[in-house]
Amino acid sequence: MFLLYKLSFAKIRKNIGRFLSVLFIVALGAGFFAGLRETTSDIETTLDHYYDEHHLMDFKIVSTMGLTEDDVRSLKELENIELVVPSYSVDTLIDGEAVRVHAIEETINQVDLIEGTFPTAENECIADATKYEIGDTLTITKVATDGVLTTLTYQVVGLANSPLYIGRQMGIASIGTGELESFLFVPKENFSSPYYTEIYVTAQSSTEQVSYGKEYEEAIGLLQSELETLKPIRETKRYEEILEKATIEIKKIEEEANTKIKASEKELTNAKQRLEAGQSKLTQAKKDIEQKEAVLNNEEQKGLSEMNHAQITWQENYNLFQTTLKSLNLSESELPSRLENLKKEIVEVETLLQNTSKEDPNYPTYQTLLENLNLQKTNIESLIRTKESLDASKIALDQQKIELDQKIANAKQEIENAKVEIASSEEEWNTSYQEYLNGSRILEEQKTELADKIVQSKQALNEIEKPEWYLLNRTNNNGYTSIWEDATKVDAISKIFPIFFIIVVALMCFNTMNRMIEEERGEIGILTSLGYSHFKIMNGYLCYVFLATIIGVTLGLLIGYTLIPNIIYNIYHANYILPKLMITIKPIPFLLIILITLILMSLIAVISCLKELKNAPAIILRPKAPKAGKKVFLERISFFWKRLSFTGKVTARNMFRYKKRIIMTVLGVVGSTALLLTGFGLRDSISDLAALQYGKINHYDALFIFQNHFTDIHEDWKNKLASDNIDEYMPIYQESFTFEAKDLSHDVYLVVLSDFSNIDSFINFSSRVSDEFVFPDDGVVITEKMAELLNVQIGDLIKVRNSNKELVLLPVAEIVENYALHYIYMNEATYKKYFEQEVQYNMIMANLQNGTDHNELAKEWVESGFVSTINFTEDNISVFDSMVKGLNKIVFLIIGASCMLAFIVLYNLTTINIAERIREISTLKVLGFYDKEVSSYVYRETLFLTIIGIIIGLVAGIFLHRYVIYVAETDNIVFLHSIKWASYIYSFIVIICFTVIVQILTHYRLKKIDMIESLKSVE
Amino acid sequence: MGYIELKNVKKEYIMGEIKITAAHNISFTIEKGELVVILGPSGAGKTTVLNLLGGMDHASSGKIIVDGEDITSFKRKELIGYRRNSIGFVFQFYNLVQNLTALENVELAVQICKNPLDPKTVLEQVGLKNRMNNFPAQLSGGEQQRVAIARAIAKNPKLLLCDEPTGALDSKTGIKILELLQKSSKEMGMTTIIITHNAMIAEIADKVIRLKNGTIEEVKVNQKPKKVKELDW
Repeated sequence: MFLLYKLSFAKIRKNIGRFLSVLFIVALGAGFFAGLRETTSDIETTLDHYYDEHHLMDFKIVSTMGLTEDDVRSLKELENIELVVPSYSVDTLIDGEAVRVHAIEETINQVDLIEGTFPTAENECIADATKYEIGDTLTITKVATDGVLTTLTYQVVGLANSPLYIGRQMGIASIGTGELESFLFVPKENFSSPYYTEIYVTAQSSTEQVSYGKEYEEAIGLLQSELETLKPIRETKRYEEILEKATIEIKKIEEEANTKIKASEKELTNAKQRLEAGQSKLTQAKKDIEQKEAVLNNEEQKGLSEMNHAQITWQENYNLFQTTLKSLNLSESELPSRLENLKKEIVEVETLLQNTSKEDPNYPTYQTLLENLNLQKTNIESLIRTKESLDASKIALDQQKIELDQKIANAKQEIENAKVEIASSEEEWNTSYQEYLNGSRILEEQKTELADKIVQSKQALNEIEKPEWYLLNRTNNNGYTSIWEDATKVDAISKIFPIFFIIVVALMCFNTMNRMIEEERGEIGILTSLGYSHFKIMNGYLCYVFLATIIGVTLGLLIGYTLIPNIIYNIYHANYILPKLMITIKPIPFLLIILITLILMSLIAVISCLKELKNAPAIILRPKAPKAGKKVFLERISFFWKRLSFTGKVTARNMFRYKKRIIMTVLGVVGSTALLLTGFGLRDSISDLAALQYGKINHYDALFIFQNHFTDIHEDWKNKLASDNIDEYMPIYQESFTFEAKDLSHDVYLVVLSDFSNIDSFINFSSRVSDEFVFPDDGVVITEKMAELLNVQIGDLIKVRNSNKELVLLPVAEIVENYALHYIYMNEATYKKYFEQEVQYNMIMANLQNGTDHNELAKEWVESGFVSTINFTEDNISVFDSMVKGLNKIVFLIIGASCMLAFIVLYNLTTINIAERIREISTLKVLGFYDKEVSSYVYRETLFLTIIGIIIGLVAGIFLHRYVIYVAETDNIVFLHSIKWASYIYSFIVIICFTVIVQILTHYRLKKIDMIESLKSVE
Repeated sequence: MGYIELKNVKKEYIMGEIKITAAHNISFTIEKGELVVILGPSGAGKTTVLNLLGGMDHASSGKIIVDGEDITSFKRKELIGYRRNSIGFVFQFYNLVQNLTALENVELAVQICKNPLDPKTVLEQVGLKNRMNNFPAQLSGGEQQRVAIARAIAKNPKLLLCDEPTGALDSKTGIKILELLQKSSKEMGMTTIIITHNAMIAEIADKVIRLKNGTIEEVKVNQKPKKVKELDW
């Protein structure tokens, strides 16, 4: 017995190449099979672990009107509930990008802290590790709901990933461009809101179950139904609460307004009274003035007439005086001198008299004269007195006159003054009156306004929509669902590829074992003839097979388990932010694969052995009769056969001689070629996507996202656009929407275009349904993948929802070529028609001049305050390219695997071919065939079969590629279905190269064949 | 100097540390058109000598001159060329290509020669006119050997080497094969060497070389070689 095992080892030593080839075939098959199979399971384990570790919620409840403490209480009462955590989040703008700010929770949805610490102060936060750095200062410029956040500037102290944001496409935001770009976690105390924005809930025993599994769904299913029952109850309750609160509020407002109105009314009444009083006072004052005026006039009249009278009297006296003067023949002015003269005369006379005696005759005359003179003097003196009196009275009279005039003037002035005063009072009163009128009008207005308001409020009260609860479970999270979608795609691929591999591998092993046993026919014969039992003989071979299998499978599994899941997992890093992959080598499947392979291999060994052993020892001892030659069907087509060269005939004969080998060679080559073409084809399908999407279709250079909506391009912008040498631009309106297809929610950009005259400079539409694209006047243009997901055609309606979950129905008018993301395009009229509002643009598509510095431009525009950010198409391309890089790895995996497959198949078949035909080859050598001739004699058929295999393989590859694309295509990307000619050529060349390499390697083996030895043995 | 001349030919096989001398001190000459039998028991070095003569192996020392050329100095490629144009082999086990018909087996050899004979004519000569399009498996042992001889002759070689040509055949068939070989040697003047352990066959030869333990025991020239028919089996 021991000797038989020794024999096994001797066999290994003797033909180590064969042993290794069996070992590697097994390793390759097992590794590929197990690696691909375990990938999904590893990803599942990794993700489940990640979710459990960070306590990802099972449900998130949001309500259109927020959630209250009461909601939390009633949730806690549910039977299957484990954890109820009310929390907050709000969409904000940071640097023009939409960022969702969450409250840090300790028990649920914990962040996966990569670096740094948790915040200790209110102005510290944990930020998205993929976007920010520790120490960054983030300033929130806008909050979707004002006042919710108390702190708006944060210092990044920790960087984290979050199980809530596994996908790099985070979903839609209610702010900014509508695309959620990042997240922040801030202390819960920073939220100041009268209600919770969300409640996170976990179901009992959900963590024990593996996420995505049926058991998990069952575990949360119980809670789900409970939540669904609670939902309407809480909605109604909340509705009633809101209603009640609103009613009270309205009443309060009404009352407040009424008191205010009353106060105003009172004030107005007072004012009115005051006005009335003022008015009567004014009237009185006017009357007084009139009276005074009358009195004055009277007095004036009287004064004047008295004056006149006095003047007349004076005049009369004066006239009399003048008359007297005239009678005396005197003038007024002569009077003093006359008096003087008279006085002189009197003195003269008196002197005369004195001097004259009384006797003197003249004396009497003198006397008489004196007397005359004295009389005259007295008269004159009287006249002078009269004159003086007249003069005095004249002065008095004049004085009197002046006084009178003065007095009258004064009185008149007084009256004038009073009049002015009254006029100003009147004016004042008028103003007050006007004011009063205004006041009462305002009051009236206020009254009607209030009445309206109350009516409106009451109406609004009636119109208050019932708050709606949204029960969101994990599947509503973009990343959570799509990573699983992608992982299961690998599963789908892993179901076809390994089977294909296993078939080829099993055939190869069978072939090798068969050949080995055939070669050792003599040995088996000897052993049987010596009396060894069949079992023991087989044992020897089984030992060989066991060794090869166990080493091969273990090697294959270890490499396959670690390498393949990691390669595939790495690809997902382009689209997801994922934890490190946990490779779990499960002992049971591991052992099972070893066991199954062992059984399979043993079966192969046993069948091969039995094929020989079933014969009597004597027959086994005799060499096996070579396979008889026979005519091939081609010879019947004599016209063809005749034209065939001798070597062609020989090749044709040989090919058909070993049908099994033909099938295997062709099959192996077909498989390798198909795989290879699929690999190259996948590269074609993905590598040009970015160029097509952003170079051919959306080929505008940049998208300016404006701070505010606008209807016309502002002059300032126009100047700025012109000065920045941006001559081509077009305002557009873009908003993120979602649509549902295949149980998944997908994001879609709704784009309203303003100008179609120059549309080709920005977007290149090409229809997928008609030959020529015409932008429809009515209805929307949707992209092909969206149409495919929704399974709609032109004329169908599509349902889309905005960020508030409001539904809009749009008719499809065109379906266009598109490779990345989904878009709905429409013109302004269509927008107006279906959204019942005018378009307000929020972005500008622009084409930049060559060589424009993007950073400079963005900085300048953002600083100008017009735009919040600029998206450059070039950046999209690089994002895309990084994704493509990830996919390239899988392409290399496929190419590598197919090359290995090609090599193993060809090498194996060639070596077996040589071994089987060693006599024939030796004969050729003896006949004097040169080495090259021998090789070409042997290889010609392999080469021919390989070429046939390649041709079939290329055709099969087209289908395989199509299938892989169908499976691997993500929901927002269309892979190109065509394979480039170069890929066909590469595939062809690679396989031919491998064939040639194998032939070069085996050429030396052919050269070394010892013709003498080979021919010596008995045939 | 003969048509073929061996001078002190020695062949050693080195197997690890052991040196096995398969043949040594072999010297003989063969004239053109001679039918030579190399006779000896198993392990005497017959096949070694044949292989050396046939250019299938290198001599360790000595000289082998065939038609004026020293084949011991030949390189691998020259040796193949020598086999191709100068040598016709006939083996004990025919070594026909199973997948080719009788005619095609002959053609296989002929297509690479410089001045071959017409395969069909040769096959007719060996008496297989009606079996030309049969596959080896459809032919009897004797017929197969005839195909093998035809294949060797059709090359029109300088030397026809036959290694136990009758070894796998019954005596009746064996006689026919020997007749054929003698006939071809005589009629076509082809230098033929037959290796056998059967001393009887030696009687038909022009020259008999006896080998024993790797050396020549005797070189005997038959003055009157027997006809095959005269042999007593």
